[in-house]
Formats: sequence, C-alpha cells, structure tokens
Amino acid sequence: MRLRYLAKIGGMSLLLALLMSLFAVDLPGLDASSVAFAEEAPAAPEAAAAAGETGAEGEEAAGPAPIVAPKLTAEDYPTIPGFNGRVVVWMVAQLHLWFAAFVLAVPIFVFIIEAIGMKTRDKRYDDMAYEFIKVSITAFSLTAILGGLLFFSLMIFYPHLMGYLIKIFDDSMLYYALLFFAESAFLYLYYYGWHWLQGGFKKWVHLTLGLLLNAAGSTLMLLANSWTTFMMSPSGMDASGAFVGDITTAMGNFLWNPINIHRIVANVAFGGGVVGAYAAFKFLSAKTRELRAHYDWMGYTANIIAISALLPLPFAGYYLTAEIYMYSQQMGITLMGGIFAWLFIIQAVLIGALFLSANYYLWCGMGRSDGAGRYTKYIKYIAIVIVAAFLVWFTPHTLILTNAEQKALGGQYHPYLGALGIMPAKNTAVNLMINCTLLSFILFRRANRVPTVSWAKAGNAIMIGMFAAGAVNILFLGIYHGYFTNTVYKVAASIPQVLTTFVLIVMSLIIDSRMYKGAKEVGPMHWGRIPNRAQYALFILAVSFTWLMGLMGYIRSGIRQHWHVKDIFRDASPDAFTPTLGFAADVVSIATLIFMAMVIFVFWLSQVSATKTAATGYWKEG
Amino acid sequence: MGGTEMDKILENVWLAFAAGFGAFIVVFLLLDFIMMKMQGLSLIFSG
Repeated sequence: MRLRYLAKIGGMSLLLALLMSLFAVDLPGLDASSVAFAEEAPAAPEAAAAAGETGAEGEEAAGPAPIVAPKLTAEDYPTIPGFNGRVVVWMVAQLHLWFAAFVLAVPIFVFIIEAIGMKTRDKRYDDMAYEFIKVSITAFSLTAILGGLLFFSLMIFYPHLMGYLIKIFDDSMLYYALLFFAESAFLYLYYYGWHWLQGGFKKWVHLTLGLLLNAAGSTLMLLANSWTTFMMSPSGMDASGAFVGDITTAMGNFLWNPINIHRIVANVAFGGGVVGAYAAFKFLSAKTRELRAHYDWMGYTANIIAISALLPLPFAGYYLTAEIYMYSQQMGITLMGGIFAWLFIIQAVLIGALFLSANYYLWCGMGRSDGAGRYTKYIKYIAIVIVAAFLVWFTPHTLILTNAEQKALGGQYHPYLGALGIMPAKNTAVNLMINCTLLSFILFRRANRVPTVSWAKAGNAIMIGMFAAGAVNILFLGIYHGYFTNTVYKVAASIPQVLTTFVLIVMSLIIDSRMYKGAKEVGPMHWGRIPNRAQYALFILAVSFTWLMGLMGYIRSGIRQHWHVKDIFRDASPDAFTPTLGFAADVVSIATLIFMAMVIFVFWLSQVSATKTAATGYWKEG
Repeated sequence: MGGTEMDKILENVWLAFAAGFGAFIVVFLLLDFIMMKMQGLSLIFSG
C-alpha cells in the first residue's frame, strides 16, 4: 500500500517536473523588466534608442538598451590556417543536426510503440521499442559531442555573430543548457530503467519518463529553431534595425512555427528511415530464421513510421515555403526562382527515390502474406503512375544549354517538356505520387485479410470512385488553373489540390478500417519472408532522407545570402557569397558520407555490445 | 434516400462506383470553390 502511495507521488512529481520544464520556456517572457520594456518599446523606440546611448543610467530608467548589430570587416573573422570557417561550421552544424533529429525523433515513436505495447499487452512491441531506444543511446553521445564542437566552431570563427545572438537570446541559451541536462537524465532513466520499471504502475512511471524525455527534447528543438529562424526572419527590430524586443519577441519570429512543424514531421520521417536501415542491417546479418523474422518486423514498423511522416511532409514543406514568400518575396524568389531552384531538381530526384523505395518496400512486404496474390496485379499500374509522376516532378523548366543546343531547340525551353517544368505540373505530380503511395499502403494492409462485411464489394467500388474523382480533380486544378489562367490562380489552385489529397487520405483510411473491422486473416504472417533487395530499399530511404535534409538545410540557410541576420546583420567575412551549386553539393555529400560512416559505427557498436567472447583459460579459476 | 435504394447501390458495383465518383467529385468541386473563394478568386478563370 505504502509502495503504491510512493509510486503515485513519484508519478505526480514527474508530471510536475514536466510542467516545470514546459513553463521554463516562458519564464524569460514573464520577467518583470522585459514585460515593462516590451510595453514601452513600441510606443517610444526613439526613447529606447536614446536609452542605449546614455548607457547604464538610461538602462535603469527605460529597460535594456537596444541591441545594435555590429558592422564588421573581414578582419573581424578569425582564421585558422588550413581551415575554412564556413565549411567547418557548415559540416559540424549539419552533422549535429542529423544526429539531433535522430535522437529527438526516436523517443517520439518509441513512446508511441511502448504505449501500443501497454495497450495490447504484446511484449514484442516493448522489446522493439527498447531496441530502438538502444540505438539512439550511442547517437545521443555523438549529438552532444557534435553540439559542443559546433558551439566552439561558432565561437572561434564567428565570435561577433555569436556575441550578438547571445545578447538577444541569453536566457533561452541558459535554459537550453539546463534542458539538455534534463533530457540526458530522462533518457538515461528511460533506457536503463526499462527492465526495472516493468508491469503495473511501474510501467506507467516508465511511460511518463518517456513523455518527459520527449517534452525536454522537443522544447530543446523549439529553442534552437528560434535562433535559426531569427537569423532568417528577425523580429523585434526598430526602424534603424536595432533589436528592441524581448526574448519572446525574438523567439516568436515569423518563420518559427513553420520550421517547428516542418522539422518535427521531417525528424520523425528521418528517424524512421535511419532505424529502418538499422533493421535492414540486422536482417541481412541475421543467422537464424527467428532473428530474420524479428528484424523484418522491425524494418516494417520503421518503414510505416517513415511513410506516415513522409506523406504529410510535402504539405509542411509547402506551408514553410509559402510563409517564406509571405515574409519576404525576395527570399522566396531566391529560394525557388534563383540559383537555388536547381537544387530543387536534385531534391525532386531524391524525393522521387524516397517514394519509389518506400513503395517498393511495401510491394515486397506483401509477399509475407499468402493472400497477397489477389493484389499483385495492381502494382504495375501504381508503379507506372509513380514513375510518370516522378519524371514530371524532376523535369526542369529552364535548361543549361550551349548556344548550339539552344539554337537547335528554338529557345530556352523544350517545346514539349518545358510545360512540365512549372509548379502546377509538379504539384499535380506530387499529389498523384502521394495518393499512389496511399494505394500501395492500402493494398499492403489488405494483403493478409478478407473483409466479412456484406458491403465489401460496394465499399471497394465507392473507394475506387473516390480515388478516381480525386485524381480528376487534381488533374483539373493542375491543368486548367496551371495552363489556362494567370499566376495568381496557378498558386491558389495548389491549396485545393493538397486538400483533395488530404480528404482522400482521411476518407480512405476511415472506409478501409470500417470495411476491415472483424476481417478474417488469410493465414499467419510469414515474417522474414521478404527478399534481401527490399532491405536495400530501406537503406535507400535512409540515405535519401539524409542527403535531402542536408541539401534543403543548405538552401534554407543559404537564402539569407550575405546576411548573418537577414537585412540586419551583414556577413562581412571573405565567405559572404553563395558558393557554386557543385561546391555546395560536394560539401553536403561529404557530410552525408561522414554521417553514414558514423551511423554504421553506431550500428556496429550495438552489434558488438551484444557479442560475448568466452575467454577460456584467461581468468583465474575458482 | 431510402433503405431500398441504398441496398440497390450496394448490390451493383458499377452503381456504387458511380455513386462514389459522383458524391466525391461534388465534394471536391465544392472544396475547390470554397478554397478559391477564400483567396478572393473564382473557380472558373474570369480574366
């Protein structure tokens, strides 16, 4: 009884700690002086500026002084022979971000899988969740090491920028460090307490630890995102460009939430991709049928996680891009219409590879069921549409041509394919590609089941009618508004296109789940009965996600061009120029290779930790 | 629609397909109309 009481108190304390960690973010905004200053500043920015000039006495009278961005020269940027500051920071930041994304995403779905295990009382879920978190433990150390390296690199190569940002975000940076301790504590308790906190109330305490871990991790990400987005869309500035706001103003900048949403969804997709690669690695190296079955199931779960996050990801991306345009048309045009537009062609190829490999894995996975033969004949049609959409998706609008080629072509644009280079064609293609992936997923779900409801045939016909109507509507919006109206209509039509896909996803899952309620199983699932080549599809997923994140991250950062903080704090370093696409692609590709090598090291470590060598005759007997 | 008509639709797959297509094309066009209207535009381009 006493133990139960103590356990309840423990659980409540943990929940309280969670609430405190959430409130911690808001504390700076509740600071009395900053609130007072925030109220005064909009009314009298000149007074605030004057207060800055009068120094400490003025500060006491009118709150903190405005923070003015320094005007730097090339000499203000320290150099180290043999190192390029920008490339060092770029590489280290990218590696840190990949690992951070991974260690933030894995606990999200580990928490969900553990909760599913608790609900279904199926221990396999618990074992799998434990194995996922085990992989992220080593990655967590690497994240911290790379985070430290990034901090030192920034302080060494960009001291004035860091000084400026620390002045603006000072409190939040302290909370960031404290939260990192909290996250470490929760992670280690969560991982090392897994087998200790089993059964009954203890399991609830363990799940609460998982929740706290996610709360701390997500808050960390939100804080760091605000620093990044402040550099893109600074807020709290007066007319002269001096910062006169408080931390909440700086954090709540225009692009903060679009990035938050995009990163959370993308992290889950990326995390699913990386643990999928882990499962594939273990599957290929498994010696027994049982192990192959286990890792096949793990790979399947990871792929489902990755696809579930991949489907809404383009929408989050569109939302972010629309907000970038809304904040600054110039930045938007640099992003999609300027030099960076060419990187979107590479992005298109990688996204196409993602969709193709995710679908391919689903098709191969249908082989686990004896009932899949009923649906395999439809795969080729789905494949044709996906490949066609993929080709449209990466068809460039303008071409890099020699004079002779341009003359032969009769202009800059290809007479037939040029029409496929504009956004309405891309939007149409990506929506069709998402819907085809949804169809693959539905077939995959049905492979081992037979519906028992009387209206199953009619339900299928209604669903086919629904998908046909959706495809007609997407094509109507893409072709009619894309080619027979003006630019305003072209852009506007992309919203109902996206909503059509959204309706299709929601409605098909509702109809399908009702139709297959109480369905009969064809037979037991043959876990492990999947070709090895399907595992390589999982590797492609992980590599494509990584590379894509690197390229897109570069674009997001690169559209600030020669500004540290857009239009406020100019980059005066010798590297204040947009590098060639080839150079940028090389840096990102090398970073991808380094990350992959580190990930393989993490996988290998998890393999080594489970290996025991019998050192016969080495240790003293008795 | 009464129960008998619904049963008829559910018995005939082509009718069910037509009903599904018809109902959803109306839903989608309505959605298009509302979304374009919200952006100050009409569904059909008016120049």
